[in-house]
Amino acid sequence: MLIHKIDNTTFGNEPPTLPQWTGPPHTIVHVQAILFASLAASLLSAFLAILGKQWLNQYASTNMRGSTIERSQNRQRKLDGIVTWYFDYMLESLPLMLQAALLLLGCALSHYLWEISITVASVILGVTSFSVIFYISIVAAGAASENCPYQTPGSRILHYLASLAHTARNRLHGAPPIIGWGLARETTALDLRCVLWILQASLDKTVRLSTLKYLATMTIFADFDPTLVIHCFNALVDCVNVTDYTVVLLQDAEDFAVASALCFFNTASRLLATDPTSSVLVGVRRDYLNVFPARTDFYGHRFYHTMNAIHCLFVRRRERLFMEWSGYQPSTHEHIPFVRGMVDIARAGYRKSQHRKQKVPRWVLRFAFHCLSLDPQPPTPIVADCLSIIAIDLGCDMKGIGVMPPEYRCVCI
Amino acid sequence: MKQVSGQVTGVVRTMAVEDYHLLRSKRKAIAALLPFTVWEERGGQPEMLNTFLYAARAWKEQKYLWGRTEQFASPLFFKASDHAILLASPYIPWKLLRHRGDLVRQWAKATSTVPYTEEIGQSVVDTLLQIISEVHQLPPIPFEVWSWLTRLPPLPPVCLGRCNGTYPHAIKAVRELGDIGLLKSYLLLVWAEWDFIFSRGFDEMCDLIREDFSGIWMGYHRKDLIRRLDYMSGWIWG
Repeated sequence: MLIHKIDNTTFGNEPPTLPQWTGPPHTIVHVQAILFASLAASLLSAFLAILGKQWLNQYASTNMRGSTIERSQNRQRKLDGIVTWYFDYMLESLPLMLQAALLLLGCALSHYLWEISITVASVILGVTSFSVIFYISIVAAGAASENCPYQTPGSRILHYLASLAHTARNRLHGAPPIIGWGLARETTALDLRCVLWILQASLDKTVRLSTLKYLATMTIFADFDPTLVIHCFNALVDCVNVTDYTVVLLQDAEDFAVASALCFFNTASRLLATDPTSSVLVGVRRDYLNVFPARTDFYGHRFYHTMNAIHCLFVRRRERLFMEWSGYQPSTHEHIPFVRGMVDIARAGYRKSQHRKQKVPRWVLRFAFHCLSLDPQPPTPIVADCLSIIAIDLGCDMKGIGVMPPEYRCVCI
Repeated sequence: MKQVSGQVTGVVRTMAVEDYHLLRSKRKAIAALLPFTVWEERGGQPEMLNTFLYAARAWKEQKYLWGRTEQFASPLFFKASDHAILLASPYIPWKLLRHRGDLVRQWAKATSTVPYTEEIGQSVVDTLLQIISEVHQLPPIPFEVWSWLTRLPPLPPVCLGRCNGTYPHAIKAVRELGDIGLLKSYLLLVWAEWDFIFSRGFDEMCDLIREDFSGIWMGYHRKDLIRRLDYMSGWIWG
């Protein structure tokens, strides 16, 4: 064509014509390229999946003789190798390849059918778009919450990036304590559900005792199910017998009684503070008075003070006058949740009393005074809680008391 | 905890200044602060103890803030600093205490280590008068402690020690010391325009004035007593 343009006599009278493309249309080429990419990705993922299966078989096999220690060492070497060589990332990439192959297939089909029939292509395009949007949604959901069951590698990557950004921001501006508190609250709520499930489902005495002991040391009761109070009460009733107003413990049940009494007190006081009119509390009070009449004497038992405190919660005012704390010197891990429970009772009692005569129950104030009088002084969280009881009685508006641990608390007048 | 104690300090001080009825209503809560204030003072932070004393001195009734504080007597007298012992001891219900002898000895020991100030003098004299009025079988109190009476610290209008210090056995306890200067100081302290004298104590006083302050050598002391009585009668009759 260029020669013809320079000298149009070269080819005579007939102007040269350009040769026509005789292969498939460009659309088909593009579509086929995408389809082959999809096919290759699918095959590669299938190939790697088979290899992965072989690798896992190799990992699971016990191809070594020797003592338990030697076999354990071999197993540990294999596990270390898996971590060192990023085996989990390798296997997690297989679904990603399949997902990419599916996306490519959808794109190729839509592109191809668009040239033939827009209506048919719209269907494929719609389904593909829906799939993409759905996938993005589950990735976002998985990234937003670790509890979301729709976890994907993408959501984990997003979550990791978000936590990195969060850490960087906190380092720049200083972390507000409420974030740590939020996490603690979430973890505690999870723990409480676990505890409730075990108390409902397990009949094993050792498991129940361990669970109760753990519950007895918990200081935060966030969003707990009120029926936990009933289960703690039932656990207590299961190990005591009251005859002629005297409490007798069943054989080998002392630890169980102590732990369940502490749990019952902690949960009941928390419920009293959060929902004083709870029907659960009404029912438990009725059942409690059936088992432990007002004149019941707990003297001589390890849970004497705990039971007296529970008694003060459920009996009339007259009996509370005799509540004495002298000799009460619990261990720190029991004392901290117990004092937290007392703060809850103080808050509930203060709210319940009439205006201008608003007071914390006197037996609770006596408790605070007793704990503050101890020498050596109790640990700081206990002192802070006792001071909080006095502050409530003095009329300070204690925000978050009984819910937040002392380090997250603030006081407003 | 600092934030809580800071807010409690603010509330108690406001109460003491502005709302006596509220202070009266919350006296047990204020008394319950005593152990914490003492431990804080031992740790080098006297602010809470000062707040407690500020509220306790605003208390206008001739009785203890809270009888339960007797439980804190042993830790106070054996573990607190001498300064805190002297300042807090007037607010301990001596009438209810057990093992008073040991506690009085500890208290007397503390008086020998803390230098005299008006505030300390008031507390020591107040406590001494409470001890002699409540404790019938007195443990031996060193003469140095009794001599705090001769410094004549100005006692506040509401002073439990001065109010109860005119019981007959209290007067006898001072009289038995046989020191005329001390006896005169005692009378000058307990004769105040804010308190009355118990009738039996009054009779005892009449006897002691007649018997101990008679004679030509007592003229100087009688003059001091008459001056005090003149001041009081002037205050009473306008």
